[in-house]
Amino acid sequence: MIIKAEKLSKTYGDFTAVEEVNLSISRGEIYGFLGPNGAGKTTTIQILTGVIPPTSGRVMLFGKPFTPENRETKLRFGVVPENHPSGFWPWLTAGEYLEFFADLFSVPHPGARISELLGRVGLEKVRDKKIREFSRGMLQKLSILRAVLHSPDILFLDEPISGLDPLGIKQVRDLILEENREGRTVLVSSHILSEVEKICTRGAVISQGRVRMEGEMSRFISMLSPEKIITVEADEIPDRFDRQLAALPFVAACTAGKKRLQVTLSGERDYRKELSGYLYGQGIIPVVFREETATLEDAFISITNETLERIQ
Amino acid sequence: MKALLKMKIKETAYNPGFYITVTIALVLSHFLIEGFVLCVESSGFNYAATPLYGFIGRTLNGIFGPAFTDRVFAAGPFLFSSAVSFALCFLFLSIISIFRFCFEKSTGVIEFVCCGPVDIRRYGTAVFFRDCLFLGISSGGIIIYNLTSAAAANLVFGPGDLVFSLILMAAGIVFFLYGNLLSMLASTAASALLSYLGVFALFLMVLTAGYADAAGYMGNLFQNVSRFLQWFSPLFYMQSAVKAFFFLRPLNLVLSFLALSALGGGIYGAVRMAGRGKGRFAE
Repeated sequence: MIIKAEKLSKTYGDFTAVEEVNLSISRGEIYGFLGPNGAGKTTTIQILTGVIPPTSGRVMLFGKPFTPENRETKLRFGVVPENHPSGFWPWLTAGEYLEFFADLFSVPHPGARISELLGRVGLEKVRDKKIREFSRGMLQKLSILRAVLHSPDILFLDEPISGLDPLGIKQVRDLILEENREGRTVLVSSHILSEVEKICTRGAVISQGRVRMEGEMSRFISMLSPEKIITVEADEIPDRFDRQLAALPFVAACTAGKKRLQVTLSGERDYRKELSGYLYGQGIIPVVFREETATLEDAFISITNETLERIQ
Repeated sequence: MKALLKMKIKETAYNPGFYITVTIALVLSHFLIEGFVLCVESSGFNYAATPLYGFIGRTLNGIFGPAFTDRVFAAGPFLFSSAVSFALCFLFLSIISIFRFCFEKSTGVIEFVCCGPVDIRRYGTAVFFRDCLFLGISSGGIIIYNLTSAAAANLVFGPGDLVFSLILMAAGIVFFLYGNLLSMLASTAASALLSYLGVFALFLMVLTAGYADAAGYMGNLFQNVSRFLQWFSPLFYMQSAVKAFFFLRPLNLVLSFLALSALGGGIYGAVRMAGRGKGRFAE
C-alpha cells in the first residue's frame, strides 16, 4: 500500500472532525474520496499530507510511518488544496509562480517542464500574466500544475475541479489520467460524483467524519441496489399485465403502462432470460429491454442519508 | 530555502512602504543633525536653542535624568539621529513582517508553501533572514547619509558612531527573533502585533527603570522585577555595549555582544520549538 491511514482521528475540543478513518490505497490507483461538504475529506487530506497532526492514529506513506518533518517523503507527493490561498503573492506572474515552486522542489530543466505543463491545460498564453488577474478556474489549474511540477509519486487533490468550466474539467481530468498513466497514485476528493465515477476505480465515502464505505466504485452501486430493475417497451401491453407479471416467483414488483413496463426482479440471481422468455411466450415483442442501473450519485445519497438517519 | 528567501526578499523589495520609511528616516535624520549643529554655541551644547532639541532634551531629562542626557548629546550629532532613524526603519520592518507572517498563516499561504520540502520553521527562518537583510540595507543607507552629512557640514562621524550603529543592528536582530516567535504562537495578526509592541514597551520600561529612583514598596518591586526581566531584553545588552564602548572597556563590549548572541540563540531555539508544536498552523 502506498498510502495507508490507520484509525485517524482529529478532534477540536468537543467537535470530532474525523473519527477512526482507515484507508488503503495501492500504487498506481486513482482513488476517489467522496463525501458531502463538512464530511471530513479536507481534514483527512491535511492529516495525510502532514499539514495538521492527527489527534490519534497514524499515516503510512510508501510503507513507512509519515511525519511532517520527513522532508524526503514530502518531496515525493504533490498537493492541491481545496482553495488557492487568497493572500498568495498576487504580484507573481504564472511563469514566476511555477518557477518559484520549481526552484523550491529543485525541478531539473524547469523552463521546459513549465512550458509543457502550461500547454497541457491551455495556460501557455497567460504565462506572463499576474496571478491576481486570474479567475478561480485558472488559479485552480495553476495549483494543479504546481502539484505535478516535480513529478511526484502521489497526488493529493482536494476538490480539484470545483470552480472549473466544462472545458477546464476535461483538461484537468485528462491531466489526472495522464499523470496516472505515468505511474502516479492519485487521491482525489470531490463531491462532483459524475467526475469521480469517470476516473476512479476505487474509493471511499465519508460522512460525519467516518468512512461509511470503502472499495470498488461498482460495489457501492451494487450494494445500493441488489435488485435489478428492467424497463421494457413494446407496441402494446395488455391490460392488467402487471398483475400477471407480479404473480411470477422471480418478480418483486411491476408497473405497466400502455406501451411500457417496469419490472423489479427479486433476489440477487439474474432473471433477465426468464423474463424475456415469458414476455415472448405472451406474444409481447420488446422493442426496448433495458436494465436501469443506479448511479454513483444514488449510492452516495443513499449512503450519506442512511448515515444521517442513523445519527438522528 | 534559498528559493523562499529570494521570494521573501522580492516581497519587501516590491513594497513601496519600505522606501517611504527609509526616506522619512533620512529626512528625520537630516533635521536632527541640522538641529544639533544649531544647538552648538560658544559655551557648549545648549539643547534649549532649538524647539526640536528643547523638546527632546526635556523628554530625555524627564525619563533618564540630566546625566544621561548630557552624555547622549556629548557623543555628537549622529548618535541620537542614528537611533531615531534606525528605530523607525526597524519598527516598520518588524511590524510589517509580523503582520505579513500572521496574514499568510491565516490565509493558508504558509500551509500552501509548506506542502513541500519546506516547513514553517524554514519559512520563519527565511522571513528572519529577509528582515535582517533589509535592516542591514536601511542601516547602511543611514550610515552613508550620516557620512555624507558629516563631510558636508564639517562634522565628525567617528568609529563610535559606527559601532553604535552595529550595536543597534544587533539588538534589532534579536527583536526580530522575538517577532518571529510571537508570529508563530499568536493566532491572529492583531494579537501578535499587540504582544510584540507590549514586549518592546516592557523592555523599554525595564531600561528606563535603571535610571529611575526607586521609592517605596512599589518602586522597589518594580526595580526587582526589572532586574530579572532585563536579562531577556536586547536593550539591556545594547546599553551595556554602548557603555562599554564609551568607557573604553573592550572586554565588556565583547561580553555584551556574546550575551546578546546567546539571547538570540535562545529565542531562535524557542522559535524552532514553537514551529514543531502548536504554532505550526492556524487550525
